[in-house]
Amino acid sequence: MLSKRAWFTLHGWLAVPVWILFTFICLTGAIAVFSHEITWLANPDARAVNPEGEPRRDLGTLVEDVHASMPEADIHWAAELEPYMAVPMRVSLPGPERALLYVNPYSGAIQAVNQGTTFAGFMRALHGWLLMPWQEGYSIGYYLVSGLSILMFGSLVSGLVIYKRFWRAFTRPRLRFRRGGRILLGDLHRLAGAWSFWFLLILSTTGMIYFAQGLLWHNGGRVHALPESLETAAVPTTPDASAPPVLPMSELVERARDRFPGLSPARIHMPEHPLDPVGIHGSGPAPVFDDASYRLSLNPYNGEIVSARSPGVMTPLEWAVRLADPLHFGTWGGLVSKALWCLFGLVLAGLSITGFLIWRRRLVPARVTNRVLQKAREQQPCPRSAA
Amino acid sequence: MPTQRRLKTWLYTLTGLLLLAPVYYGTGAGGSAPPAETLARLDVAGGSAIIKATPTARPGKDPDHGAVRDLTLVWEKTPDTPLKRARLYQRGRGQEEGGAGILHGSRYQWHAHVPVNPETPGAPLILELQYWDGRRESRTIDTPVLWKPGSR
Repeated sequence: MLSKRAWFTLHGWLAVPVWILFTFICLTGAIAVFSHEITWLANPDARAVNPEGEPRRDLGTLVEDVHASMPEADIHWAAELEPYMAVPMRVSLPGPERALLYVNPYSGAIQAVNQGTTFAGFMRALHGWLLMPWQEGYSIGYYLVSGLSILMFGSLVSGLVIYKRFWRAFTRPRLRFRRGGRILLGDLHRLAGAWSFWFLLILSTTGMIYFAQGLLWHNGGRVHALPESLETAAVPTTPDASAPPVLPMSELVERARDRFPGLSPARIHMPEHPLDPVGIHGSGPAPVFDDASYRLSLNPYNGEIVSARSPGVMTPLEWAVRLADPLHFGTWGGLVSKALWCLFGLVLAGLSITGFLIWRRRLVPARVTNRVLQKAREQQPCPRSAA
Repeated sequence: MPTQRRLKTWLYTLTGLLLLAPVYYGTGAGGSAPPAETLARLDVAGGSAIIKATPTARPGKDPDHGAVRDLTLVWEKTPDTPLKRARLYQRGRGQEEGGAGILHGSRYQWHAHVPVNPETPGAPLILELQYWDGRRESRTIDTPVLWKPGSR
């Protein structure tokens, strides 16, 4: 069993060398939680306004609206974000160029045609992989960030071991303002650490899930199997060589809802070639799971369901990945849980900063003491020369 | 105290690494790809297209199809006759692999993980087309070598 001093040293080694990186990741994460809301505030075109009081259209109908109003746009995917946000759709345009449309979910009108990255995309890349590029299935930044979860978990465990009777932080919280900076920093660090231990546990666990996912991608693996192409026999031929008609997207969404009652479609992936099925993903009755946990592939020509997956039939790995995002970013409970997650993200950043300052204060006096001792030794006459 | 000195060394080293990250990204040292090269031009189904690829020293690896080469087909003029399916594979690979090398993407640009033979970078490509009335067509496309040892 390690001594308390050893646990203390371990706690320092796990956290102090990476304190800047950890603080940066906590701050960017706290901002990323509200990236959609910040976009809503800064960009009027990203808002779901409804001055006419119309009912909200479903995702399939919105895809049909864009097909009608912008026939040159080839839609890749359409997504429902928050209820107050416009619906983004990734499209290809002649050129070829790619763009992101913002579509009003009530009128179906295209509010903006954006090119380049969005604020939410930028924050996710900054927080998730420090903007470091991806190549051949991996990013050094992704490994750095997700790997910190292991150090975070170690800091949590060692911190709870060091802080005896940590539960007293809940029943008898203590902040001593008049006993000097070092005492106050220590109290702040212990209080923040104890009150956020559940948050540290959730974030370190989800971070380790992301790390494992990164290893899987690096080795060419996938969490979910790719949808199979349609059998040639399942797709009609036409005597005049024209492409056969596909069912309306709204009808395909209805068939998906029939398969999974309570499904709330959040994403439509359009076929990438004529024998590719349509992908419809959404959230459903299972709580906390993200909005890609109910996954269907449908034949766009006859509406037949090619494959369907839900939390009831998922593998443990799929379970873990589908739970990781809502738990990591606090999106499981809407604005309230997001606010809580943002607050505790800032608390973690403060934990890292106070931990560094405590270490610094311990180091400086030792350095000063050594300097004083060294000077005293130099001034003290040598016993032989005195003789 | 030796432990604190070591901690300080680690601290400054890792902080330095963190500061290097934007430099790494900004200078493109992390992998901004060289521009794609045109490998072939062809007329297909009433349209015209070019096949492009980013230079590479060796083929990539696909967990399902082994050695592959990522190619892009850009439509300069979209086809008049719609295509039911289009596949690309290198001669000597992929004839029997029904799902490998399917060209997919948007109306204006397709991509494919083209099955290739690692021993024959210069072997031509085969473009297999299926039309909606059941017709099939196959054509050979001569290209420069698909990967060159020594390129990035």
